Amino acid sequence: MTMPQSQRRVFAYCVTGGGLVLANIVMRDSIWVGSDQLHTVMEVVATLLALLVGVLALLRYYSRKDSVFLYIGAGFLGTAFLDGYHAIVTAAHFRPMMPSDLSSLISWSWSASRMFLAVMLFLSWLLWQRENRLGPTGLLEARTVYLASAAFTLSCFFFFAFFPLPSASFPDIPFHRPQEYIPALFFGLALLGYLRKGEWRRDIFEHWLVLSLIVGLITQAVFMPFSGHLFDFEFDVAHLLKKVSYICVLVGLLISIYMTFRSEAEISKTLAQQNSLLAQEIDERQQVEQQLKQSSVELSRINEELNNFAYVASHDLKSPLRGVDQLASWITEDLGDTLGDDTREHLRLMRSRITRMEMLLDDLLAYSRVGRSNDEIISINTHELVENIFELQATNKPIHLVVADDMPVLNAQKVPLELVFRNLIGNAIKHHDKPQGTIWVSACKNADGFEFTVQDDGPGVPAEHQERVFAMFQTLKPRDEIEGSGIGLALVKKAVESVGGTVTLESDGQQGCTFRFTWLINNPEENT
Amino acid sequence: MSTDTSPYREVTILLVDDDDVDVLGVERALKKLKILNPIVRARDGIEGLALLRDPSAVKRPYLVLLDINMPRMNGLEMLSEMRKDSRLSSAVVFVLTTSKADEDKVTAYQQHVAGYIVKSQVGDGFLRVMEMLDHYWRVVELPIQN
Repeated sequence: MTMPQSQRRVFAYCVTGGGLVLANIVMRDSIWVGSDQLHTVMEVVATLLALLVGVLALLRYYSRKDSVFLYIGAGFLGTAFLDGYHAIVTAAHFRPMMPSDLSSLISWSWSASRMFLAVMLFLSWLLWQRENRLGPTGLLEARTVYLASAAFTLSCFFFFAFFPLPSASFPDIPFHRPQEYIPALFFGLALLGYLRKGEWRRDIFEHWLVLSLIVGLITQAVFMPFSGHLFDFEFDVAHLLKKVSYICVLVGLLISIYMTFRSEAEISKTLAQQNSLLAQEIDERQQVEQQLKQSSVELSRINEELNNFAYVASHDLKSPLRGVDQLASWITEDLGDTLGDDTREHLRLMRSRITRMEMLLDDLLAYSRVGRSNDEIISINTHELVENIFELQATNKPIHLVVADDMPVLNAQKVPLELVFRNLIGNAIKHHDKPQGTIWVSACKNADGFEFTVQDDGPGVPAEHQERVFAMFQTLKPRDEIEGSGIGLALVKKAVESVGGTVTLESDGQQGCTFRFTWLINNPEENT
Repeated sequence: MSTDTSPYREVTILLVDDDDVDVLGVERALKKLKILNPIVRARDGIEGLALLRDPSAVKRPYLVLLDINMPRMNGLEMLSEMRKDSRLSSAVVFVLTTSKADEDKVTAYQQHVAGYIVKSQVGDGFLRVMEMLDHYWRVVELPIQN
C-alpha cells in the first residue's frame, strides 16, 4: 500500500498527537514518582540536546542561508542555556544561593525555557512570513537575532537569581499549573503557522519540525498543567517529551543535512556529465568551425575561379570571334563586286551575329563583375549623371528626357549606379515605338537611401512578362528587330541588389512602364 | 652629322601575337598603306625575347607590337622581362590586344609602354593603327639601340 507523502505525514502527525493524548488518559493515575536527581540528569541531557540542535541548525544556516535555521538555531541555543539553568537549580550544590524555594524555582525556570522556545519557534514562522512579504529587506541580521535571544536568556538568569518567585502550583484548581498554557498557546500558533506554510509536504526538516511542535504542544497542554507535585508522573513525562521534541528537530536536521550531501553528490555527478557533454560540444563546434573555415576558403577560391572564368571566357571567346569577323570583312573587301547579292547578305548577317555575340560576351563579363567592384565611394550628382547618360546614348529617335529638379547628390560607388541608369534609359530609348516619347527620371528620399524612378511612355511590358524581364538572356522581341543581349535588366537587378536595394517594374503593357529601384546608402543624413 | 641617306631609318616591327588572323590584318594594313618596313613575327613572349636578344634577328631600330594573351609567356610577362634587361629596357612597345581590362592597361603603362591599343574595330582598325605607327616613327626619334 502506497500513500502520497503528504498523506503519510498527516497520518504521522495524527498518530503522534492522538497517541500522546491517549497515553495521557490511560496513564493519568500512575503513581510514578521521580526524584530531583532524575530531573537533573534529564535536564542535563535536554541541555546537551538543545545545544546540539542549536549548533547544527546554525551550521545549516551558515552553509546555506535560510533564515528559518537562524531563528531556530538561536532559539535552541538560548533554550540550551535556560535548560542548563533549570538543571542546575535542582542540583543540590546551588540550592542555597537562590532567593526562592525549590518548587517555584523548578517550575518557573521550566516555564521560562518552554516559553522561550515556543516564542522563538512562533517568531521563526512570523519572520518567515515577513520575509515572504517584504523580500530580502525583511531579513533580520544574524547579530540582531543573537543579541535578542541572549538578552532574553540573561534577563531570565538575573530575574531568577535576584527576585523571590511566587508559587507556581495551584493545587485547588483542575489545572494545577495554568501558566503552562502560555507556551502551549505559542507552540499551537507556531504549529498552525508551519502547517499553513505547507513546506512540511515537501521539506523533510519542516516535517520533523511540525512533529516536534505537536509533541511540544501536547507536553504543554496535556501533561504539564496537570502535574500536581514536583517529580510526579506528568512532570517526568513532560520532561521526557521535551527531549523527544528536541530529538524530532535533531532528526529533521540530520536527515536534511544527509539529503543536502546526497543532492550535492548528485549535482556534482550531473555537473561532471554536463561538463563532459560541454567539452564534447566544444569539440564539435571547433570541428564545425574548422569546416566552416575550409568552406569559406573553398568558396573564395571558387569565386576567384568564377571571376577568372568569366574574364577568360569572354576574352578567349571574343578573340576567335574577332578573327572570324576580320576574315569575313576581308572576303567582302577582296571579292568586292564579284560577290553575289545573296552571298553579300549572308556575310552581312554573319557579321551582325558576330557583333551580337560580342555584345553578349561583354555583358556577360559586366554581369560577372557587378557587385565585385572595389570602387571608392564618391559624391555623385545624379542629375548630371542621368543627363550625361542620356546624351551618350546618342539616339536619333525623337525622345526627350525630363529629369526632376530635386535629384540627390549622394555618396556611392559610381560604376553600378551608372550601369543601372544606363541600362534603364537605354532600354527606354531602344524599345520606344511611338512617333515621339518622353523619359521621366525622379527620386525621393527614404529611410535607408533613395528611391529612383525611371518612367517612359513606350510600349510597356505586359503583366505576364514582367517576371521574365529580370532574368538572364530574356528578351521580349526577336533580336533581329531590337538588338539586345537579354542581360541588361538582369544586370540592373544584380547591381541594385549588390547594394541591398530592390528593383520593381510597373506597367499595364500599353502605356509605357515605370522602373523603381532603391539605392541604399550607409549614412543617408550626409546626402542631400 | 648623320650620313644616313634615306629620309628615315627603316624601322623593323616585331609583332608578338599568337593569332594568325591578327598578323594577317597587320600585313594587309601595311600592304594597303604601301609601307614596306620589315616585319618579324613571334608567337609568344619566349619567342619574342629570344628574337630580341639575337641582334641579327631583329634589325635596329625596332618597335614592338605586343599582344597580351599568349601561350607560354604572355605579353605583360614579356614586357616585364624586357624592362629588367638593360639592353631591351629602352625599347618602344605598343600593346595591341583585345583585352579591355583596366588592370591590364594599368600594368602595361606601369611598364612604360608607348601606347595601349585595343583591337576592337575590325576592318579599318589595323589600317588606322599602322597609319599611326607610320607617322609615329617618322616624327618620333627612337632610342639609340645597340
